[in-house]
Amino acid sequence: MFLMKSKCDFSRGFRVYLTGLALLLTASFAHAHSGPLNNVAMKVCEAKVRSQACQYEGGHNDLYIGTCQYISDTDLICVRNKPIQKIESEKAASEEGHEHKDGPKIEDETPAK
Amino acid sequence: MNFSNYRSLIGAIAFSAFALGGCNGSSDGATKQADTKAITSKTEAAKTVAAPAAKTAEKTAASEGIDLSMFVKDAFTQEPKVVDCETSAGTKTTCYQFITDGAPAGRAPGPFCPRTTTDGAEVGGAWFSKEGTGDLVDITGDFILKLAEYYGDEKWMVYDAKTNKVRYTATKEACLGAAKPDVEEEYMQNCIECELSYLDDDFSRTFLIPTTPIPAADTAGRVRTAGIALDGTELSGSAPVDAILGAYTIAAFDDCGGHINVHQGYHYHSTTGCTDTTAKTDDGYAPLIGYAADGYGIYAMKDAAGNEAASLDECRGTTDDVRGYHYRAASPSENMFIGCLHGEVVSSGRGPGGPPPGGRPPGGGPPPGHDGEPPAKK
Repeated sequence: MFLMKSKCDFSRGFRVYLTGLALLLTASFAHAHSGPLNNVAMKVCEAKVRSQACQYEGGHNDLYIGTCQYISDTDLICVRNKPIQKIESEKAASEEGHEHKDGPKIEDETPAK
Repeated sequence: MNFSNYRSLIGAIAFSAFALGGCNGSSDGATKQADTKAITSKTEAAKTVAAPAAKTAEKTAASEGIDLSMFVKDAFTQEPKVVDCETSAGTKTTCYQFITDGAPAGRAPGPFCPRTTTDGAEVGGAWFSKEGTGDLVDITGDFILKLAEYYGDEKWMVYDAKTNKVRYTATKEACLGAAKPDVEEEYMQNCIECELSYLDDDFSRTFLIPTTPIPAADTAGRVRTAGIALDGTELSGSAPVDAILGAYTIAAFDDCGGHINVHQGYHYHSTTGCTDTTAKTDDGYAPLIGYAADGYGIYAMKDAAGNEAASLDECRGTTDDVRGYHYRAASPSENMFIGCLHGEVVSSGRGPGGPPPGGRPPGGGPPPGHDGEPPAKK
């Protein structure tokens, strides 16, 4: 009985943990195409304060990392301060035999014109 | 509430915000005449500075600060001067006084809006990509034709379906009409462009930038004016894109990433290489594009090898032994040049990074969808 209760508690706790993690990720890691232009970059800073770290995903598996800065007198936007990173797609990863165990794998874009 | 009313309400709110806050103009009630007088009194105590002399006098070991020789010929209507000034943080210092006529030196702006839905990229200008990143997108006739699809909003209709002609602000009246808070129905659903000829005959912009950059204790605050480009025009703060698109307008840029309004003249929202210095650096560093309102240099996003800086501070700044502290611009569609101002700027009465004195005329609220911005020009 005790064991069963413990299992149940663990399972419930794990679900709560997963839900919390999902919410956290949603808040800090937004996806593009939810609106025109700066909407995504602004959305990730809605619940943040100035200078707080932020990141969001743009099109083409691009990842933007920066800090929240004022774009208007009241609104913050995520200002990128690192080169655009590439989120390695799952397809590419599986083709290369990689597994994602620690979140999205990113790499510097280091573009060459 | 039907869509039309809702849209009107949103538009009224957005444009009222513009009228009150503008993007880059000085809506603090000061008239252009008043600004001019203030400038004149400062000028009386000022001394004209020969470019090379000023260059050497104000430099730090790392060449921090403005190098007047980097500006394009005829970027200013008067020889830059050094005048006494006070920053918004209360620091008394000296500033370069730059006076411009609102036109980019060395080139004619445009084109902006295509004329028909079959026009190619050579006839139109450019606009932010909807993702807000990467290069600008060409405003071709096809782009105009497919705006509804592009933005996922079927109400877009910036052309006449019978004639396939693009609707654009073809007159000064239309340019100004599209720029008021309660944009008239006839000016919505337009590609907006204005001409330099719409500017007042005595139009001028005056920029006061510290001769020696002063690191700010507090870098908070919105960047209304990022700085001045090497061709003498403004590197503007972020454009109010949501409001522009909300009015079903496109505030078209030319291929250089700038457009015109009657308050700011020609100004940039994006850097696409047009203002890059032609001077090559020995180390392959990114080209200088202009100077920030705090006096630090702004360099292009990518260096000669096509690489971005590995890591920047929150203002998009970095420091090296050659250039001292300086900024690296964001990509063309990011709707910003820098994230914040690292140094102190001269107060405009509107907070850090505000427009320099001599800005916008009284009562001239920014146009719809144009950061203080009246529509772009042809």
